[in-house]
Amino acid sequence: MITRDFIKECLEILDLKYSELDDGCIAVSFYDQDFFPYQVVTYIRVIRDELLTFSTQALDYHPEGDLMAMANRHNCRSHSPSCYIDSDGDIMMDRAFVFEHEVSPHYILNDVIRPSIYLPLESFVNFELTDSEIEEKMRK
Amino acid sequence: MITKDQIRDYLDKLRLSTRLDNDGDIVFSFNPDDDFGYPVVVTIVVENGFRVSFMAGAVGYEPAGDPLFLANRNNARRNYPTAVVRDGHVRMEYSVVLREEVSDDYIMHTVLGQTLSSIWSAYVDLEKETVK
Repeated sequence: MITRDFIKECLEILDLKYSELDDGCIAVSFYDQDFFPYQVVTYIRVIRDELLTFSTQALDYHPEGDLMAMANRHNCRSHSPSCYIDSDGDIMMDRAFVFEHEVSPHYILNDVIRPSIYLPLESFVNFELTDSEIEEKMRK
Repeated sequence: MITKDQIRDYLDKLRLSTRLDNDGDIVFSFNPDDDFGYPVVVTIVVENGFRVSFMAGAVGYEPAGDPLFLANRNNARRNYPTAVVRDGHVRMEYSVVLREEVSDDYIMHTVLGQTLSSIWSAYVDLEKETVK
């Protein structure tokens, strides 16, 4: 069982600012011009106290090129988060977890929430880069 | 810390028969049936003692339609696994990080049982316009 209050507590521990939307969703927003020049928002939903989903979008980010091929390239090198192009043509980065059985609070904090916020950011930064460009970036 | 032997034990408890491939990775196979007429082979890899990765392929399956479109649609409507197109083939992949403490039931039923079941369902539904 997982609750919205526990998620909010974890976000506070991680020192992440969040807002609560009318539909019950929790939104965590990032903007750092030098890191990635678009606002990145992660929408967190708790469904029936057992399904936790993270859906991340970079607002107004519409790169040129074959987006489905680029999403697939991302998924081939890292399927966490899972990337897809939605019906509006937006690039989405999603993660989801089911909690029907017991896990520790540390698991939810460190293995679920923390990477679900930070991995999509990195994925957006690297989205337009080829594998060799990422390798070169890692070497620097 | 999780080991390959532990994962294999959990799969045994779920009465899922596995074998080891030449690399020593765990392999589980779904047999074809009326829902999906191709065998699905899932390789389960335990990396660094904390990451459990699933990589699945449907043997001999060539979907009708653009593989990139089908994979994207899968990823838009399913929480997991992630469909990826490698060498023109649609593969299903997923991984779970288990650095922190979780229960045996979580590993057995959620990480292993539900992931394997989702991989099979993803292939069953891949070409369907709508899914339940």
